[in-house]
Amino acid sequence: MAVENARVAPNEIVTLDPAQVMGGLNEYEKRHAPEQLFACGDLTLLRAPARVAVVGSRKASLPGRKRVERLVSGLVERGVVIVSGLAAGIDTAAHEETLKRGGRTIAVLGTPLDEVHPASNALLQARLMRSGLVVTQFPIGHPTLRSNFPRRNRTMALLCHASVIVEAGESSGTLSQGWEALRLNRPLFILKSVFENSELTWPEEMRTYGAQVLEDVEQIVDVLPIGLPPLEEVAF
Amino acid sequence: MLSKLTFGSFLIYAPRGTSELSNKAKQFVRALKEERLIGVPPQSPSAYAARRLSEERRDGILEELFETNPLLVPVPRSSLTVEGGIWPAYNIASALVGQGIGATVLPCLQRVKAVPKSAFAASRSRPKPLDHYESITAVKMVADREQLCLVDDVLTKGATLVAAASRLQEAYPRAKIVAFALVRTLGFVEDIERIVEPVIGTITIRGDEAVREP
Repeated sequence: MAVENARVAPNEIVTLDPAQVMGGLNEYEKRHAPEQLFACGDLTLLRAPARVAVVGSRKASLPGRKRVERLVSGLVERGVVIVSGLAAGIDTAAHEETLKRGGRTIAVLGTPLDEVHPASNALLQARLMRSGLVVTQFPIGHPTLRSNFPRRNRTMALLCHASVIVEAGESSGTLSQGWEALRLNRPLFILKSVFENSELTWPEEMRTYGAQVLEDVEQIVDVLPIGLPPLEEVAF
Repeated sequence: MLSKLTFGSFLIYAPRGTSELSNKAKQFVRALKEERLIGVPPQSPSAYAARRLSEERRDGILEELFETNPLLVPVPRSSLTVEGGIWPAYNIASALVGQGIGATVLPCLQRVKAVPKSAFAASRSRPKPLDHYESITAVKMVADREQLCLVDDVLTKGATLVAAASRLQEAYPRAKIVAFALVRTLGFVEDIERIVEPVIGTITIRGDEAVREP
């Protein structure tokens, strides 16, 4: 069933080819990559040397929000572009904290660019279109279906060098991003506090597939290609 | 468990290096793990490295591994692999076969229990050969062979390789088992002066540790 959204008016929408954005896609990346991306804002953020997704539950706990603040602060200090999904809860906290710290952030939507979900993020989405970047795989007119959001999360995993899950329940849509990052062999971090929740089984399961327990922001910085040459210049 | 294994490797990288060349090698290793396309036009890092190996093979250093046209056995990742996910060693083995190096890929080893990644673990807490041995199983998929060559992406101390070789030897008792790692780490070197540096060496078990030379 489609969801009723708030509306925004993007200034200028640019259509992008994901293969060009990523400098070519391998066979694994092609499997879930969208055919097109629609973007509004600063396109240079898609070529930033370090892009990290910070994602999590829509029903964020207060400690979860505090953890986002510390995490985002540490990443922004190192020039990392913060990517999230503009959903309620952890995603919103990640975007807002980045802006508060003077950092750069990309929102990857589960709606077309002229719609806002949740409606309460209309001002934030409009702000990111002016001073950050908003990206979606859904063309204007595409209905907002529940299935959009896990697809959006897979796209976010594709666009980022690493993903961090701050908190998420057993059935959270965020988990689709974790599994996609693992499938692409991209670094996936799960906050240590999530492992301490004995009601959750997914963190330990993801760990057996390569997810790392995040205790220090330096673990993320270590796996980012900061200071390394672009992939185009790596042949020897 | 085998006490000694002959290995060959083609490239080097220094995880601590900061020079332009060291950074290029580091970025190549990252690309290899994620199969991210490199160069212009964009190409698979596995395919690119296999082609470079094919070109450099003339000097013969690595012929000891490949002269019998062995089946290539990819080494399992340290973690379990998501369905449809990237298995770097398999991609390298396939790319080698694509260059006529090795007869075919024989994916007969499997990781049944995850172990911590060597690259992320402190030296003293890295999994030991026995940890790897107990987490890998082998399935006999073809008749016994004269020689089988394990293939891996990055070689640190060799604990994974010697454990995988031991499991392979159990499944193929008459085969000579050798190993090839595309890249070997130089952990104590500040910077590298070249990326291509083919070498043949040995991994030996001393106590409960694997020791790589060179």
